[in-house]
Amino acid sequence: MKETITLALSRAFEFCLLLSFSYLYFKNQRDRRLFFLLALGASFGFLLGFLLNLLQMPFAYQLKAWLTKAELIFRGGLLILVFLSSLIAEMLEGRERLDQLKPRFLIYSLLFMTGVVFVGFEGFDLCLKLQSQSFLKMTDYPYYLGAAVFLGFSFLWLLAFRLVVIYLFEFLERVQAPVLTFPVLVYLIVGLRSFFRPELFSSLEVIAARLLHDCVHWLIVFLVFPDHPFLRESFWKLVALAFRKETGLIFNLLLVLALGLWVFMRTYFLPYPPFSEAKSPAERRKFKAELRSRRIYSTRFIFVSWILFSLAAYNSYSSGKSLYFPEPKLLVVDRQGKVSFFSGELDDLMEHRYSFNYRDQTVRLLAIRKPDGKTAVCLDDCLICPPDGYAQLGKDLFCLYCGTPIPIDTVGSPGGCNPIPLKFKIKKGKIVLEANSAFREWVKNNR
Amino acid sequence: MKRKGYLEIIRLSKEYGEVKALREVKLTVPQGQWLTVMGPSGSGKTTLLSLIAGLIKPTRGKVKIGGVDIFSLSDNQLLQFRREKIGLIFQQHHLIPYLTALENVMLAQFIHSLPDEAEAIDSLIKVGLADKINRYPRELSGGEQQRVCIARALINNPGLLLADEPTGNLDRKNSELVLNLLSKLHQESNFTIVLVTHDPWVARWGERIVQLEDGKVVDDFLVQKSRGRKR
Amino acid sequence: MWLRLFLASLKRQKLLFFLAFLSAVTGTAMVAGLIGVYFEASANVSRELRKYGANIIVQPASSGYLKEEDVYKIKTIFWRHNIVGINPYLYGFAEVKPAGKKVLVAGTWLKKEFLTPEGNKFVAGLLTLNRGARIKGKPFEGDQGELAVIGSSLAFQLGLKPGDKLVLSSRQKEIEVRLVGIIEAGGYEDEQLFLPLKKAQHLFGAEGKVSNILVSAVTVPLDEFGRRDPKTMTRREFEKWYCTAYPPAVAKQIEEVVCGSSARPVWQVVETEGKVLSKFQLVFLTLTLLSLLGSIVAVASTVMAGMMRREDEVALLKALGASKRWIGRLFLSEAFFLGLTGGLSGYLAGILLADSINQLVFGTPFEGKTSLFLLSLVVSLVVNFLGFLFPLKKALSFEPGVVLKG
Repeated sequence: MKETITLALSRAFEFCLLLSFSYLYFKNQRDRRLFFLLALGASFGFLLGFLLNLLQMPFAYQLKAWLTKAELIFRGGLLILVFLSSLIAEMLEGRERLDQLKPRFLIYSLLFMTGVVFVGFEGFDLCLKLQSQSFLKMTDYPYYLGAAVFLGFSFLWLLAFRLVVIYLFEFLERVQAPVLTFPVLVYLIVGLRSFFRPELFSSLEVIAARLLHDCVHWLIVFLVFPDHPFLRESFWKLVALAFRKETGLIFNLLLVLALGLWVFMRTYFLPYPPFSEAKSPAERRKFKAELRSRRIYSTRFIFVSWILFSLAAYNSYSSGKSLYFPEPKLLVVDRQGKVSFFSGELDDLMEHRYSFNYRDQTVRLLAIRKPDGKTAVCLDDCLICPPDGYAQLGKDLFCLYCGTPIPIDTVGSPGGCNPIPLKFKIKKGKIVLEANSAFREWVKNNR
Repeated sequence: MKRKGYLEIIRLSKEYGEVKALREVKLTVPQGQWLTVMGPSGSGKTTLLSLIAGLIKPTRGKVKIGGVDIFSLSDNQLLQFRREKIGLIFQQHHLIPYLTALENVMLAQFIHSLPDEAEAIDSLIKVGLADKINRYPRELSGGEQQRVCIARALINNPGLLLADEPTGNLDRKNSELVLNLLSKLHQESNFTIVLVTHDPWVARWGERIVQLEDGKVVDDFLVQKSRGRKR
Repeated sequence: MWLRLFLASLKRQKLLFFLAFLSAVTGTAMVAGLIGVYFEASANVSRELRKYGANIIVQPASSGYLKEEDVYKIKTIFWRHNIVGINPYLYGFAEVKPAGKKVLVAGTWLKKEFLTPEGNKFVAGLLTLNRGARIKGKPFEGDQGELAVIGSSLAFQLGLKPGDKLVLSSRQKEIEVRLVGIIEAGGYEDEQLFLPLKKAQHLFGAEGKVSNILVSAVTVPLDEFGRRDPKTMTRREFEKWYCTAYPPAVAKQIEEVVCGSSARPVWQVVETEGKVLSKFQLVFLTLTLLSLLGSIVAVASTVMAGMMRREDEVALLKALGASKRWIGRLFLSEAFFLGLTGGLSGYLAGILLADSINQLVFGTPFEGKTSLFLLSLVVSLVVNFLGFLFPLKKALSFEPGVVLKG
């Protein structure tokens, strides 16, 4: 129960931080509305996930699979969104221009959907957690009843959200900006590890770099005769420098920074609107200064996101050297006595830990897709040591109890200090295990 | 004359521990008036000026400039008010020694909002320093330095100019130059001046004289215009 | 205007800035250098390990040979998953015919795939064991064929190149092989001629035999706990000890499956790794913190001295209506500039320092790292900001009223 409360509280905290963040970085009311939409989407998604699982709607798991996939894409797209938001802010510089903005409905719905996708499955997980602690019962409602309940709930939620936002913003109005900035930044930087999953960044980056590389390559191959006397090996080496592991990171970061700088410069050198002649030079200067500071303020987001981006990137590069020990994800034993999770979750080739409760015991699992493409599902425990679990360090797993390294290639084979492998089946993109047999193995090894 | 003043000082007192520098001073200065505050040293002139500029806080009483009670403002609002509405000239010239005349003026612009070089050059031409804009303060005479200070004080178009013994360190010839310049600028753009001096000769340029003694207003009269003009 | 203000202030206080800059550079250089050496030292120690590749060597207990079939059994021990490289050798001398010189011939695997009893594929051989080795030309695979690979310095001595045909003769036999590659491993391998294991056995008439086996196992560095006598342990402790892949434990198990062998960990490497590093760490951390603290104090006192002289200036700025934030920004931009330049120069100085230490201790040049560069920038910025903080606080407390007094 304590865990659940902590989880719920931390979600609420993150939500508030998100709101204050948006409040800080968008000065006028209309821009803030954009972030309201994001927050609204997030809370709606949370509720959606929660109720979907609670009411056991027939398409719930399907939907969760989509959400999980979309979340991966969206999380990667968050930075793009952050950049976008500065662009939007810049576009909205003159308010009158907002009304001319044709696709604003698109932007609004995009932001809303982002919120839904981001937090959607969190609600799903919270519900699972509650169910596993038997605070909520598994039920079999007819789904039209569920739909009705869902609609009613969402209506109430919208009302509550309105109240919360109004109250929160009244409160924020009274708080000084630095007081808000500090915790937000600290949270973002400290919580970076969970906020941007490092492995995601590198895969995104690899895709981007490869795409860029191919473009450059084909362009040059088509445009320039490949055996041109001046385009010898040295030239190719120069091109390759941008894609090498050591320099590629800096190159990519510079690319991103260049985008930010471009927006910044554009904003900075935007011509001033005409002044009324009646104003004195000092008043004109003041007007200019205010306009400029407002413009620069709106680009501040870019640089904050750039710093976060760099840290995330650095994190992802150094993650090979640091212990990776994810929290176990909770699974629920279904009515056929099986536990399952989506095999797509393992696409990042990192260690994943799961746990489920069965007959008063918490059984922990470990799943990983090996570099050769084979999937291994094991108990998070070996034949000898107490079950302290395995952490990943580069290309090895480490038993946390005795510190013995296990090469990842060998995970899934029995013996030694390796985790005990389990039998599993893959059905419709899901990895399905017998809860009972896993439980028996677990108990056998832990007396 | 019951009309509402631009600068209103209401029962203003300032005490430094036991010493009472100002006692219940009441004063109303209409827009565009040149007020000279006179008095022997220790009469509270400079304290009065510091209070009007908002540099120190009063023990009791209010100062209203353009209808705004400046001590009810927050620190930052007061600073903003000062940089937009008040120009200051000091006895010692207080130019930043490592900046040129032009840069000193631009600094005031910069603190106010944005620097604008053309405007700053114009203002220095107005005070007759066209050929000395890129000189450092140590390369300028006392009178020239004081003229740079005037340019700096007026660059942001303040409604109120406060001058503390502006000719205190100058000889008669230079003082006359500076005061005539001030007088010319005052006629051109109609700001209110509060000038503090102990010198009756300087006081003649003003339109109204207030005599301070021991922290109290003891005399308050208008100067006949013709006398001031001649000088 | 920022720039003008800043340059003017810089010009006026050259000496002061120079002193502050110097202390920032010294501090950053110390930190960058120390941390750089620390990084490099740990990398060097593990490079020593990589150079050797193997950390367990299996030799015949008495004189004689080991059996080739036992080599495969190493992948069946309890710690089989921790064995990441196996390489058997059969040594002997043979005369190279065209050159007429006796050379050391090693029959081995360069790259050989076999299936473990569990049905997993395993790649063994010199190239998987010694990752530093480079081959010009082509390695031979498996353990058959009339092919050979020659060590680089031997190739130089004999003037051989890939494609040459050689005739090797030992006391027992004479065979002909084709040279397919030149190996450069930076060690004793460069002086040898490599043949596929079976071919060498044929050459020396030692079918099914090997001289020794090098094994690379991922192990846990031997610590205080690992050195304890298992007999004095409690049940729980013993379980942990037994479960931990300490080198002696792994070696012991290899001994059990390889007939008539004595397996021992390569001690130097295993020991240095565990012991030296932890001591290094402590010393370097202390030194780093001390130099950091020292440079902060140095910057702070220098800037403080300058700030007292700027009291008039700050009071004037305040009288003109500059906010605390504005003044703070002015001074912190100076700190930022100092931090940036100090960080850059400190990084360069630090690299020089690390390089000379490295040359002295390890005899290898130092390679600068991106992370070190970022680190020295951050250190220098932090030093300068902290150094400016107290003087700035002092400056902000100056009263604007003083400008009015004559």
